[in-house]
Amino acid sequence: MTVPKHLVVVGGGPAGLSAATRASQLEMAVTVVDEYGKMGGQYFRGRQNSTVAGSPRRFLLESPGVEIFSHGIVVDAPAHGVLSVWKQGGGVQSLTYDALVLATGACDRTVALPGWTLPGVLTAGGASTLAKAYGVAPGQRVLVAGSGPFLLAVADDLSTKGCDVQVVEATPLGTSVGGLPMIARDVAITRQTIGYLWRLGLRRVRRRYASIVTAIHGNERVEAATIHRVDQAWQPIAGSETTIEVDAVCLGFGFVPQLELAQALKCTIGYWEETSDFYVKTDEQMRTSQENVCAAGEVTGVGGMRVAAVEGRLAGLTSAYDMGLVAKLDYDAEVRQLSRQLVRARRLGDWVRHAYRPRAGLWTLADSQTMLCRCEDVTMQSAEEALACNPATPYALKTATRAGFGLCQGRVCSSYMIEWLRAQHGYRVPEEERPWRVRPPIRPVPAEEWLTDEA
Amino acid sequence: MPGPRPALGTITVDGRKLDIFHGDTLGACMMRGSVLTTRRSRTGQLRGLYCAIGVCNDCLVSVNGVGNVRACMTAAEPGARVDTGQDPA
Amino acid sequence: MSTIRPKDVVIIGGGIIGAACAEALSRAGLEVVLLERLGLAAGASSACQSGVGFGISMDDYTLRLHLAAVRAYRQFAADGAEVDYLHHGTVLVGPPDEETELKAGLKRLRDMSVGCEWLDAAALREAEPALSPEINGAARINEMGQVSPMRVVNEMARRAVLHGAEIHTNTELTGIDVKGGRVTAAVTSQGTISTSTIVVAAGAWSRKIGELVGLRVPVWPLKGHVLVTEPVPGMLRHYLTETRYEKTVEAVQAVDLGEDGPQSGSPQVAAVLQNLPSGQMLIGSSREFAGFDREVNRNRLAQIVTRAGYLVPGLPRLRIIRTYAGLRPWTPDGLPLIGPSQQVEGLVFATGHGGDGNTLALITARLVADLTTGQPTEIDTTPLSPDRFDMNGE
Repeated sequence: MTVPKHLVVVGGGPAGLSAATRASQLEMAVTVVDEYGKMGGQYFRGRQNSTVAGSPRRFLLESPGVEIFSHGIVVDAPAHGVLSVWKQGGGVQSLTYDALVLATGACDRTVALPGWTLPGVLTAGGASTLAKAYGVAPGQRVLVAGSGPFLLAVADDLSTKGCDVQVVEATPLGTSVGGLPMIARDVAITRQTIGYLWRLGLRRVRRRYASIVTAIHGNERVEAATIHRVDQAWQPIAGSETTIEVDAVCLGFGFVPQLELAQALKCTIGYWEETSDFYVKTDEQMRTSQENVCAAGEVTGVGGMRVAAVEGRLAGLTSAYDMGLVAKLDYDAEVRQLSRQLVRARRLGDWVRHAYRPRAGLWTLADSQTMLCRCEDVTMQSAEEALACNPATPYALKTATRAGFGLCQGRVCSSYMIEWLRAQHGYRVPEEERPWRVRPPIRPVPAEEWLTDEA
Repeated sequence: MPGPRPALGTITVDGRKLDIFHGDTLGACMMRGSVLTTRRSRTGQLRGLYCAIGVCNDCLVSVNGVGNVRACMTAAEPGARVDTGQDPA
Repeated sequence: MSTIRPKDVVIIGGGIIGAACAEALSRAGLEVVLLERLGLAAGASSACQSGVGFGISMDDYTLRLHLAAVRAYRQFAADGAEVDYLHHGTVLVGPPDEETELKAGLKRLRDMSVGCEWLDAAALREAEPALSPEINGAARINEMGQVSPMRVVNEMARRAVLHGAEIHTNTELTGIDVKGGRVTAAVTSQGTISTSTIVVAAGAWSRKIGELVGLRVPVWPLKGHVLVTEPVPGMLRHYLTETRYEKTVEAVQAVDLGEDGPQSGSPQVAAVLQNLPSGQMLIGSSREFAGFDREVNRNRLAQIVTRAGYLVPGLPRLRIIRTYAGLRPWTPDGLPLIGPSQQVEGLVFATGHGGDGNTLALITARLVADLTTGQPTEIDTTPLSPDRFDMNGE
């Protein structure tokens, strides 16, 4: 009797759960590792009753044999086929795998601007999570500022809680209107969008277009925010400012994938210059450049929940196929089917990423006193001064200013640094890697639990 | 919208009692109680929750005397003693 | 040494030694170009710990060199340099059976007017509460401190530029032109610079530089591991180390030097701990010959944590946020190469500092500046002369 091949899926969101389901249906032994107690990733926080493809409920119904390693944080990839996973209070376990699916999701894109570190300033994703999962809002009069349809979702979440919400969208109204034909092709998304607009209209949520928050004011917390109208390059238009009283600001300028594990595994990372997006490079069946490692979901390019679910399914299928568990004819047929679904699902996600992509003006909002690195308190002024003697690269900036040396190891500031260097100092992102070195441990972990002395 | 949920107990934040509800993290509980400040940064700036998903480490509080605890990722246990404004370096 | 054309020095290496030399030489009125293959501090200077100090079992000459070096830092910081310099002293812990020897070492230091003292158990508890209660006495050497090598590099680079130096990063030295036995140009990936003086400050890569002129420079990489913890501000009040550290230094000094360099023996581990101003603790140390490999060895990290845990019992439960390995430039006699070479006129060495690069950076720069401009040096540099090694032969 053969031992089943073991698939480890890192990330229990829609992509990871879909991969786990498909692979377990194809007789792989599957373990899903996720940092949270409940599965579903960020999308399904507060949506635990949903049964759509990729949802935790659907996953539990369809894949009872899958092992769930909750509250598990991957802290190291010490050798091929092994992950070190830490469970707080439970030590570090070695998880061996025959195949791996990376589904580590995304987090909000960092945009530094004056006042962005004040208590009461949250990311849009963070505010949405807090509202949906716990029913809390960061304030009573909330400004939701940034770019993209997600702002509407956040505004809806917060106004549902009774907040007085205003939305500030960086693109002109025409951009969103231009997306209506694409949205209209998808019934569920259309319903969702109409729902947002209807409720926001009812609650008199003011929406400003072609505008950006350029400064956040307050002493101990957010008290006000300044908004400027912007041009097509998102450059603030002088004299167009207005300052409004708010007690919380949610910044939502899109999402960036969490690539630390992919980098630790030395997967090839790509970069789309036009939309400022890093991503794990895969072939069309979700294989990364590393043998027996697939990737799915936001890490291959932010595309939303639907894309994640289909990519996950494809990654689970490919993992099983590469282990010899699926006949070629069956594999090819299913790949064709899933690929068609992917093409359809990606259309909307790709349009969103492109239409609401960051423009150059976004990287000019920070002033000299604006924090670049929240962990080490490195100001933009330090960064500017460092460039007098250093090349305009993230490594040089890090070494010269200590930005990125703190507890988060650059997870917040590195993406901003890279874009700022590109936009303001002509930096070119190198081929096939993300220019931010990841060294073990991938996440903070107690020394005595991670490192056992074999001497 | 569901009706009001029962409180499961309380935590103490800087000496002030806050109700916990099912599934609360410390961060969620504090935000509900309008406690926005979690720590002081290296140069003494006030900080609070920012990313709310465990990435940024700005929500660090001290829990029962143990520092560097992420409020947004840590379940609120009844009786927990939370201290904010953790000393900067 | 013949007079050099003023205002014409090319320094190879943008680490702490190269940057300090750039500052000293440009301040002395010379036209300086600093060439760095990658970015400033890309080598050991961004992959080390932060101590400014010395070993108490160093011989007289080496000790005097280090004392001058340490005092140079105090002055540098006192003059206002913002380099995260902390002058809080070092607590040196040893096993009980070494107490007599340690106290003798302290007496020797006091005879040289170095501020130090023995702390008994009660004083130790008060001075360094995080230290294991099983340690009943330790030496405290007040002269020692710590600094941020990356800040020193950038501060020196900034000053050098103010004094007219040019800094070229992402620029690799690909050749050295020599005519009639003397340097005439530095050939780089970005073009050729005519010069009569080249300062080799390339750390572990100095041997590769020497190959460009057919010299076998006796510098090889000695790998060291470091762990970084979550912020624990104030956990340690001093730089903390143990007498075992100097034994590890001696052990790697004693290895056989084969045709291809030092033969790797067993890796050496000793506790070296310090809090940074931003709160993280750096935990080291290890020594081993592993070529230019900078991947971290998890066994080595574990050994370091075990060692460190004997000194600070609370340490192993701290969370590690990063680990790294750096390459010290090791020489067969444990002393750096500082000064001009007789083999090639115009070639000056400022390299081979082993684990003492931080400490010796400022004084190295002063010596290099004096030697290059024909000034008398503050100490006898004969033991540091590159010509003490035979660098010839195929």
